[in-house]
Order: sequence, then C-alpha cells, then structure tokens
Amino acid sequence: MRKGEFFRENIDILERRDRELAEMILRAPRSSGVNVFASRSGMPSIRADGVTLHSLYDPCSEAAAWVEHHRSELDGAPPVCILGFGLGYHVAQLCRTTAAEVTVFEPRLDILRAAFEHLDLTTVLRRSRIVVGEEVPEVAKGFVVLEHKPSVNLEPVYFRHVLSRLKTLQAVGRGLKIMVVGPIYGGSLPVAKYCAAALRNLGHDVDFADNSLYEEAFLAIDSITTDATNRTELKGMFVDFASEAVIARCGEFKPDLLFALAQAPLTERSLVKLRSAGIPTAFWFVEDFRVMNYWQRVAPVYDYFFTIQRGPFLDMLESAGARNAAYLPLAASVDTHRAIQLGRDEMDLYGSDVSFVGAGYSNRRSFFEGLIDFDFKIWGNEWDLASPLGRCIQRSGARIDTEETVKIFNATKINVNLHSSSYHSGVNPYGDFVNPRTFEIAACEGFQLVDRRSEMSELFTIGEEIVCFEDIGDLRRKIRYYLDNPEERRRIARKGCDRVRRDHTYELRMKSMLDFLFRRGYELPPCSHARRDVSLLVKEAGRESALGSYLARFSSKGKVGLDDIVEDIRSGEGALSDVERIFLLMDSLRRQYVMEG
Amino acid sequence: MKEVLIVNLTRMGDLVQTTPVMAGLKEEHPGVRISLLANSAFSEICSHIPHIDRVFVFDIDEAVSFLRREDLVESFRYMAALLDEVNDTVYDLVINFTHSTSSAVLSSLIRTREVRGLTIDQQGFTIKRHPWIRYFFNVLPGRDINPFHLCDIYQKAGGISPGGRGLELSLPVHADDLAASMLAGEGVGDEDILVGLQLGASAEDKRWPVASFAALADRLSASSGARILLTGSAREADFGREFEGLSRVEVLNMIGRTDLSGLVALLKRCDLFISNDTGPLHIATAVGTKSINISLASVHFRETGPYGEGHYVVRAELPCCPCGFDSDCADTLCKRVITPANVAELAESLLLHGDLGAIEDSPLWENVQVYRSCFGEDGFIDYVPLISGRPLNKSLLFTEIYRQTWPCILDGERSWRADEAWCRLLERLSERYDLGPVDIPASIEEELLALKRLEGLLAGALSIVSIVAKEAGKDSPDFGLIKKLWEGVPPVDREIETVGLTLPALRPMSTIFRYDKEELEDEDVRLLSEKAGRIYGDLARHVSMIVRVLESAAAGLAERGVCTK
Repeated sequence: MRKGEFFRENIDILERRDRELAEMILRAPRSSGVNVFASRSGMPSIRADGVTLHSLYDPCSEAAAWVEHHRSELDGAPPVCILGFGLGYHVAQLCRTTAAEVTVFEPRLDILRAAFEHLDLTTVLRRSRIVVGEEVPEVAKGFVVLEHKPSVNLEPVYFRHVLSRLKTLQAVGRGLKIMVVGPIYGGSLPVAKYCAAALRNLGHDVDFADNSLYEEAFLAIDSITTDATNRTELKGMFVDFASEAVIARCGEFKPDLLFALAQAPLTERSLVKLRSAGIPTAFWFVEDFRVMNYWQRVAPVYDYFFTIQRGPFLDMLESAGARNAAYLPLAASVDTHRAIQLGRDEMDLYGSDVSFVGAGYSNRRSFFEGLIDFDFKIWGNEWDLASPLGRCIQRSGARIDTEETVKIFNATKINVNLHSSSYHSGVNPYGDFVNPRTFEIAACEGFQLVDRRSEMSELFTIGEEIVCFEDIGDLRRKIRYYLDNPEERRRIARKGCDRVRRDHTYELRMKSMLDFLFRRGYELPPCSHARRDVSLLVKEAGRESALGSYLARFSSKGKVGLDDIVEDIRSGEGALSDVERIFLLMDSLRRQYVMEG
Repeated sequence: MKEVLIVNLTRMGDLVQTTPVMAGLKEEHPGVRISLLANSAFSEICSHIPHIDRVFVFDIDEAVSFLRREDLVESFRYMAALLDEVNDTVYDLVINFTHSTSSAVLSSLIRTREVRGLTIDQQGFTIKRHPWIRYFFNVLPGRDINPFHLCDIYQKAGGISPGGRGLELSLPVHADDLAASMLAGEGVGDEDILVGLQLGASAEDKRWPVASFAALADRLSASSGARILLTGSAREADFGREFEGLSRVEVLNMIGRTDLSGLVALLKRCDLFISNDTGPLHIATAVGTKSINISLASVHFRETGPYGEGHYVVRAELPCCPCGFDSDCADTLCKRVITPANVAELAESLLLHGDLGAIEDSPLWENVQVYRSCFGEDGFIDYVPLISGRPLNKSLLFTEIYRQTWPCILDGERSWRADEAWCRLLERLSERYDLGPVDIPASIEEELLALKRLEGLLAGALSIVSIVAKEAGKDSPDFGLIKKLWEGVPPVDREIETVGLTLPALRPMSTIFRYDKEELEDEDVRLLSEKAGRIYGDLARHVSMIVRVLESAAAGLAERGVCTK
C-alpha cells in the first residue's frame, strides 16, 4: 500500500471507533518539527522536535524488546495504558501479545498523523483506544501503565499529568478509605447506611460515623427548657461536639475521602480543619433545597456537593460558592429492599389493597382523606389519630422499621407514594426530585402509584415501569383500575424492579459520585498511609530491578507502606544500601513537605 | 580539584549567598567545574549566577506529589532518575549548604570523594562534615555571640579564604535599557533619583509595617525629590495596594509586574534600595546597589545581612533582639522602635553623600543602632556600629573574642598570641563602644572560673585518652584496663555540657565539642581514641585561649581604669 492508502484505511477504522479524533487527525497540519525517515531495516522511524522516537536501526525489534521488558507486568492480561504512541510499533507489538484492553495517550496530533500516513495501523486501531486530551477516561480496574520513554521525554508535562491522574485512578480502583458521616436522626440516616454498605460492596474501606448514637441525648435537649433560644444554643453545642468527634475519628482512620449525608453534624469549622488537613470532603444533600436552606452555609466548605435536584439549584449552588456540584438522584439498596415471600399471617398483617408508609406531613394528612373508602392502611408516625384517617393508621402511629417496611411494600397491592410537602395540600405541582420510597417500592417489586415529579421520566419509563398520578381524582381512578388488573400491576412492578436493579442502586450512585470526583481532579490526601500489596509493587517495579528485588523481601507481610519500609531499615544493622538510602530520602521529604505541609 | 557539586535546595536569597564560595572555588581551583543541585522553585535565579557550569533541578513538588499519593514505585524511580543524572561523574567534593535531613540523605547518595555539610553515615545517622559546618549548626543556639556571616561560613566550608568577595549576579543583556524602558513609561528619566522599597518578607514578623514604608516614601520624596519604586512578587500585591492608599507620593508599583531579569535590571538602576530581610535585598547587594536592611524579629544581620562593602543595617537595640526562631512575638516592639524618621535620616544622608561613617547619637536614635558593612582585615564581613559610644556588654565582648579565636580552632591555625589578640580586641572595642558603664571584669568572673575548671578537667581527659590510645596500639591490648580508664571520660563530657548550658557565652564551645564527638566513627579503638584526643585537644586549646584573653581583658580594662572594681 502507498502512503495515502495507509492513511485512508487507518482513518476509516478510527472513524468507526472515535469519529471526533479521526476528524482532528484529518485536520491536523503536518508539522515541520516532525520528520519521518527510513531506519536501517527499511521501516520508517520518526524524529519530533529533535527527539528520535524509534530505533534508527530496527523499530520492530525495538518494540519486541519493549514488550519483553514489560512481560512480567502483563501477567494475567491486565488492561494496559500506554504513554506515547509514536509510530505505534510498540502498541502493535503489545496488541499481538495480549488480549487485554489497550488505551494509548498521545497529545501530538502531528505525530499521530505521521503514524497514520506511514504505517498500516488497522489492527492496532481495532484493538486500542487513543486519547489525545488531558482528561483520563474510565479504564477497567487493575490496569498497568507502560511508558514509551522517548514520547514521554518529548512531552514531559502532559505525560506527568496523565500519569498522575492514572495513579489516582489506580488508587480509586484499589479501594479508598472513606469515612461516611450520617445524621443524628432523620430520613438521611438510612441513606447514609446504604451508602456505607454500597461503598464497601465496591471494595472501599469504609468507616461509618454513626451519629444516631446521640439521638436520645440530642432529643433530650428539648426536655431541658422550653426557651427556644436556649434550646438552639444547646443543640449547637451538641452539634459542635459531634462534629469534633468526627474529626477525632478521622485523625485515627485517616480517610482518603469524607462523605457526609444531609443533616450530618459537621460544622463549618470542622470542615475547614479537614480541608487544611488535605482530606477531600463530599456532601450529598438529599433534601429539598426549597425547604432546607442550610445548603447555602455549607456549600462553600465541601469540596464536592451532590444534589437530588437540578435546574436552577445547581446555579444557585455555584453562586453560593460550591466548586464542584452535581446531580445525583436517590436510589435503592437492593440488598435491603427486595421481593420476599410472605406467609399467610404476614400477608394478613401487612397486606391491604392500598397502603402508605411514612410520616404524616400536612399535604399527606389532607390528601389521604380522599382514600378513606378503600382498604387503606397508613404506617408510620406523625399522624393525627383523632382525624378521619385515624382508623387507617396502624399501630397508633408508631415508627416502622426498615424490615417491616419491606414486608408492607411486598404485601400491599397498591403502594401509594406521595412526596412530602409542607406548602401544598396534595400533589406538589413543582415537585422535581424523586424520593427514596419510589426506588425502594420498585426494588421490592411492589406496585406503586406515585405523584408526578419532573425528574421521574429520566429515571423510569412512565406507564411501563411506574405509574404516576396527577391529583386525587386521578389517583382514585388508577387505584380502581389497577385493583381490577392484577396482571398489569405485576408486569409493571417487575419492570420497575428490573430498572432499579439495572440503573438505580446505591452502588451505581457511589460509583458515579467517585467518577465525578475523579473527573474534577480528586487527589488523595497528603497523609494517605495506604499500604500496598507487595506482589503488585514488585510487579510494578519489575522483579529484576534493584527496587523490585528489595521490595520482594517484604512478601511475607502481604501489604507494605513507606512507614513499614523505613521502620525495617531503621531496625536493621550494617551499612545502608543505596536503595535503603533512597527510601530514607523519600521518608525525610515526606516528613518535611507532606506532613509538615 | 576538578568536579564540585553544590547542593543548595533553599531559597533565592540563600542561593545568591553561595556566589562568593563559587567565585572562590573558581579562583583557587582553576578549571574546576561547578555543578549545582537546586530546588526547581528557585532555579530561575541560577541562570543569573555566574560560576555555575551546570544545574541539576530537583523538582521537589513533583517528588512530593508521588509521596502524597504514597506511590512508592514512582517516587523511588523519580529519586533514582535524579541521582542517575547527578551521578554522571565522580565528584571531588560535594558541599551541602542545605540544612534539612532530606538533603543529608541526598548528599550521601552522591558519588564523591568527599562530602561537606549535612550528610548521613553508614548506619543512617545524621552527621555534620567539616568544622565550619559544625560551627554553622551551633549558630542557632548561640546567635547573639556569633560574629560570622553565612557567606563567610560557606566560604570556609568550601576551603576558601574569605577576602572581600561580595555577592555576584550577572546582569541581563542590556540591563540599563531594560530598566530605562520599564521606567520611561512611568515618567522616570535617567537623571531621577530612584529609591526602591521591598515591602514584603518571608514572614509577617519580619515585615516593617507598610505604613512606615509609606511615611518614609513621603519624606524621601519631599526631601530628596526621590521617585519611589515598589518591588515584590505577585503574592505581595496587597502590600502595594495598602501602600498606595497610605502614601501621598506617586509610586511606581512594580510588585508582581516583573520577571527576574526585570527585577535585577530595576534593582541595578536604583540609587538606593530599602528592604526587609529578603531575596531582593541580596540581589540588590549583588548588583552593587547601595542597600539599607531593616532587620527585625528573628533576623540576625550578622548571619544574613547585606554581604558586601558599604551597605547599611538598621536594627532595634533591645534586649530581645534578635528573637528566637521559634518565638511567636505578640508585640513586635522592634517594628515600632525603628521609625520612618530613623530610616529617612539615614537614607537622606546616603542619597546626599553616598556614604556615611558615623552617626551622632541623639534621642532620635534611642534603642536603634545602624551598622555599616565592610570587609575586615581578617577577610570576614564586618558590621561597624555607626553610633559609637554605646556601652559594651558581655555578648558583644564574646562576639569580638570569638571572631578572633574560632578561625584558629576551626582552621587548625597554631600561631596565636593572647597579647596580640587582646591588643586588636581592645582597639576595636574602644573604637566602637563605651567601655565604662558595664563592669566587664566582674561580669565575666563566672565564665573565667568555669573555664579554668574546664582547663584542669580537659588536661585529665587528654591524658586518659592518650593512655588509651597507647594501650590500644599494643599487639594485645588490655581491654579491661581501657574500659576502666575510659570511665573517667564521661564525667568530663557532662561538665562541659553543664558549662555550656549554664553560661550561654560559652555554649558554642560545648555545642561544637558535642558535634565533634558525634562525628567520631571508627571500629579501631586506637584510631578512635586518637581522634577523640584531637577533639579534647581542640577544646582545651580554645578554653585556654579564651582564658588568656579574658584575663588580659580583666587586667587591661582595670589598668585603663574603666572598671569599677
């Protein structure tokens, strides 16, 4: 094939995978700093800005040697990230050797253009992905990074950045130490627990700061005095204490990330302390911003802010000083909320034609009076037993725990789900976010009728996976219809459940949360004392290298960190080796610049 | 000597202050290649430093970024790659002028025949190689009796005799044109008097108030018609804005608006530069611009004042000056004691006469002293108090005595005569101070007694060490005897330590003795005891020198009738 033919063929293949990049290469001008010439073997080599990227003698043999050099790192066919494309010899050789996913980073379009013009890269392009920008895309867990040294030397700043991002991605993939901070009580408490569990399921090391321990003491403040000012003052002092307790806990756990849920007792002062300690903080505000306004105060002090509402709220957050805000809808914990088989007794106890589980907000109190003629059970607290709804209220308005809630969702023919509002008498016409109950009923494969919300259609296919109502008349009509059509009810419930398991689990939300952090430049905190698998370190260093063989001596420990190595050196006898001295140098730099700031 | 590597990972000012030792190395070892290992954050200045043949840049930020992520392998590789680059030759001499543990470990990894400065030994313990480096580390605990400037200590550690070499920086090409073009836009012509002010400093307590600078500018503008230039980095822009709000003069605010070449050119153009203790102060000195250093808080001008002939230091003369590095002063009296009127008076004289040899004491100068820098006959920089007749005190006396004795001890100089030393000392003291008010003989009585007691103890220790060396040199030494004999040594060490701790004027001797002993490392008992013998011998000699001078001082001052006893 001639030069032009290579180019057309290569571009065609690339276009199928990455049209945008193909167009960029097509538009890239030929650069005077790039010179392609024949090596002694006859294969082309290339020089860019005075740096020769491939052998002057035999680029193919050189590429084979490069792959051979990295052989031990490629054991088990991990995904590979290559820094530098050059003319692609080493990439081609690697693709021949491993079946793994290959991502190549190359910022120079002029070099890519030259490669496309001079070599048949069709096999390489079918197998690998090329990244030219600074943003590092998602790479499968357990990837290794291989450097094409001449390319790295040519663009050191770019590759240093990419390497740094890839290393952070590797750390995230290996698992972070995450402190999850829950509220003292309230609706975000179970969400906090689900998040902690989901993060553990994703392989992270989680410490859950369970502030519900303080609930009794905190609520007892109300019995101390009726003076509202004094109560507020005392509660503030209590929150200060709980907040400092979290900081003390961080001191020991040394998290890579603190993830707090709405109403978590964390003061601005504590958050500033965390920031100065370099511990990134994220906050999930699982509340209605129009009802709770403390977000204005805390938005600037968290590094990352997640909301269940979009639209104007994201702009308002930015104005309030939030630097990295993103929409993160609620979800369900499918380990907790699931379809279960109930016995006859339980079906009798928990079952009904229509039910509702939740607190008696004013809009629900008035709206549900319209359902009084159905077989309707209301579970939960804050209901008025003396109202017309009194006969529907179960257990005199006692709180219902999660386990029983799951049974109710399972046992009920039609679960009504009305989002709370303190400002509207029934359905909130401006309702946007979707509450946890929506996902939880669906996850239990329960059938629900839910009030219309503007975000709903993004999350469920309305009519197929979930059914919404507009007002009390609409709800009554639909209750009657679906009571008469049990098969349709079951079909919709099953589809809703599938959707939740596919798209709306807390594991997926936590992954999205971490992905967002990474995209926004998340860096591990300075004193992250992560221990690493010795076997992985040895592999990364190269078994035959001086560093690799030195690290291998720690194999019996399983995992090792710089502190362990330095302690081992300090307790040893005899003259220090150069490798040991370099570790001492690293330790002293860390003490001087990282720990002391 | 063919290959020298200087390790200096500190700040811009410190880098400029290594220029005399580099110049000295080039002079005394023609053809020597000087390599510098510098912190990337301050590497820009390196291109302006003459005498450097090549620079290795240590990107500490990058190295630290790997450590932040606990990325052991990448971090190790970064260090190993840097060392590979630096170790492309075997050096004859590595001098580490950085005082951090990391620089000590780094220095121990460089292929060289000799290391001076902080390094680590085979077992990883930090050691201070070279007598003058050990002296340097003693300065911190004994600051107010240290007579030597950092540049002089550096030169001595480099094996160079200080002899009037000032700081040096190469000027950017067409520096004058560059400055002229920058100033022309601001309406400053060649004939205008230009006074530069550096408002910032590395720490708040070292910064003379902006309001004081503004008042100074107002007065200089009115009295001398001087145009005022503000220099500084972008981080110091707030000071510039504050200044503009306070001063009535039309100021040329170049804070954050110049690169290093521009700064160098502007400083060269200034007729006078007035600054806190900063990097630009050293740059101004290096390009030969007359400078006034306002020396505050923990800054001690004798260590880091402007190094060169004919610069000035204004300093508060208060019992707490200089304060300790770890002090956190809630009431920086020194900033208030030095008034705009003090600095303006000095600056006006300098603008008018070019130089100033003396200042007549008056209430204006209460609690303030002004020093003029010059090179002494001994080659070291000297700071001569311009307001003479202030009372001599014990610290000043010991500072002057140590200026004469330490070089003999640290350089191993044998020819020293107490009477000659005393004559020189008396001459300097009488020129600079009023010897009357303080009863010096009475004030040094305790030191004299302690030193005489040490003389006896050291003689004992020396004889033990020499017997041990002799026994250890035998074919089959009696180690029982050696052990028994050696039991007499630790009590002497404890006494030396006690003297140093209880009598601050004698602390440097005890501190350096301890450093010297920390250096002792040898498997062979005979060699070890011989080395120990040299350490005790040096201390004994120094003690006896001081005793003789103090005795002469006591007698001489009594003879002159200046003491009350």
